[in-house]
Amino acid sequence: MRTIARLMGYFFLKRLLSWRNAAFLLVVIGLLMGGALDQQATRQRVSAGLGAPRGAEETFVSPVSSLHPGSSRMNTWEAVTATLRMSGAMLGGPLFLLRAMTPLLAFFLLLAGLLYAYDMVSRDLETRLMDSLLGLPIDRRILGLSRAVGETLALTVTLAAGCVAALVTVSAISALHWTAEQLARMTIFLVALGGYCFLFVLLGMWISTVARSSRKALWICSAVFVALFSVHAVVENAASLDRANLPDLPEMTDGVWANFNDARSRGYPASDWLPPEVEEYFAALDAYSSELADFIRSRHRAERWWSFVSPPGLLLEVSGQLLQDQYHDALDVFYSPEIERRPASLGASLWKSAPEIAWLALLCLALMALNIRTLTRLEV
Amino acid sequence: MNEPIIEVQDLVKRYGKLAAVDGVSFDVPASTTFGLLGPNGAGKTTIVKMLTGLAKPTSGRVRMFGHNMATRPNAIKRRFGHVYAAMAFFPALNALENLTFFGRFYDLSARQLRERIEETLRFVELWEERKKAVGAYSSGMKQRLGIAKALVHEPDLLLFDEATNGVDVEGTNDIRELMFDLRVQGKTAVVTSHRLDEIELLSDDIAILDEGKIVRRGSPQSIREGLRGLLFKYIVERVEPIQETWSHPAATVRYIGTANVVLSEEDVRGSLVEAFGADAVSEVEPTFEEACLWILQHPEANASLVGAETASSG
Repeated sequence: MRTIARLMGYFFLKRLLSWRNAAFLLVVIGLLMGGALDQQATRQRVSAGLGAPRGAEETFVSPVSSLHPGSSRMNTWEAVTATLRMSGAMLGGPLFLLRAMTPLLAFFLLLAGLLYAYDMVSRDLETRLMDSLLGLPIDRRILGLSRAVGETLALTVTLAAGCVAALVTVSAISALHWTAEQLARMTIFLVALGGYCFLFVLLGMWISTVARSSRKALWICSAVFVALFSVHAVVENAASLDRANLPDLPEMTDGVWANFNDARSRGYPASDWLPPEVEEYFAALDAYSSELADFIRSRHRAERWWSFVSPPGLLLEVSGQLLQDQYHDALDVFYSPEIERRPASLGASLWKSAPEIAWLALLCLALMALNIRTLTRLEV
Repeated sequence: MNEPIIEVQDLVKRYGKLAAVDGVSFDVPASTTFGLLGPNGAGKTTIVKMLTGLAKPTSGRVRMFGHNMATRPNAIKRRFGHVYAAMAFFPALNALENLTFFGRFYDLSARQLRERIEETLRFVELWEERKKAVGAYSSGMKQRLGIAKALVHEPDLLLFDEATNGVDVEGTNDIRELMFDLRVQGKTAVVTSHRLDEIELLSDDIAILDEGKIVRRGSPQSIREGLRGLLFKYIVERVEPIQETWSHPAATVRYIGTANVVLSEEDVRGSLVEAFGADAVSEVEPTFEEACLWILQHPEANASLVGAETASSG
């Protein structure tokens, strides 16, 4: 254990204090701060437009009206994000800011992880430092494990520091308050983000070991990045909602139209009495919403399997559940009769994103085993 | 006879169809310096890599200190130090930090390690430079630091693999002196080099390798003596080259300014005396370098000799 801790500590510090890491920190802070400030400004404009008296929980958009050709996961993600963005009372607090940055982080960290690790082994092979390292009386598995964990830890700590610095700064600028639960959600998400980085550090490390040349490894890592990006795009396109399969939106009859249109002059209908025509229309809308929610849920169940071949999809799914504190299940953003009976909770969000987190962990373990096997057989 | 520290049996290493090492066997007793000599690509470095556990043999066995490298690599690695060409260190760290990093993986207490680091850095004359980043060291200084790294855990065996490659003349001389000091101290060592003078100077026992096989084995003196009757060397005292007036199909002539050196596979003394007079011709023993070159250029002559040589040395 002492050997692992010693090696891990060494590789962690070496990476943490490197120029590459400093550049990474600056990029993370720059990207997140710029993005978060922009998102917060939009939210503040919307909030000011809606006006405080309209109620703290009120939101401006209907997810149904914002449906677009994309996967049901993407539509859900967009709908929840829009709900938080368009709320009058800064719903979700800082969660919204991190959430809005997740699509960017998903691809940025994929690239960063690969670039972090592409020369991890090959550079040492080229400089012959590997001769000295493998000549030490240490099990090669320990050497590989300590290195991968130490370097990923450095990446995760830098990333977390960047996220926290950006979010704290933006929160301070815009007087945004954090709750303990929001903090817990963000911490768990940052750990998942660390796991996500670990995946690509391990992948880059394996490529570096197999390629044995930093130049070759850089090309392969670039190709892997493009390939994973393409897989994600293909999966998203393949899962796009076909509007022809969506339930039909009930048509607004002239009578209903007239009722709404003339409401200003006649006064808005009281909530306990509606003209039968309007009541029928609302019932049809309820049925439509319910049917749409069922449709989205069934599509989402199928799409979750597709995400398993697209790591960015996994991260977006996890962020979709964890980085919101309004719904028991993010899919509840679409109308559901059960919504009142299921309050939002951290446990529920964790449970909903558990398959993706477990799959991420499994992928990391598999890549770790592959790295250890390759390193054990490595000859210099 | 000392118990062998290294026992190598029928070692083979193949890269695809190419046999980099092809059935090599040798033993190295304690307190001897064993030299592996041969041209580039002869298999010297591959053998050292298998001795250090950096490469796995395709077949054959490496035993060191009574342990099998395939099953107990770490027990062996604790007991040797390895110096290779163009030693690499963490460039941003200084000598003390580098040695501390590597030294910590051996069974030394913090105090012992500090003392050993000081001792070894003083031995390689880098104590004054100990706080300078290794990235700023010259190649010779890096190699000296490599020797310090190899010595820091007080190993029972040292492996020098082309340790002076890429080092300037002064640096090479410093490193050779250090290696010679270690030999005087009675350390067991394996030295590989393609520099014949270096191997001759440092080794008690030498194996000459060619195309992955040992073609000759013995002490520098015995290797030279083994060529008696096969290789003859004469000095012809003539201030002008003799090639225009004398030649022989079994001989080569080299003019060195004040005399001519004749190397021959046959006794041509009679012919030379007839041409230049007895006073101008003297027979001398071929140098180690000349003997090695002849051995490497005459593989067919080695086939009959190597068995007897290896058996008598091993």
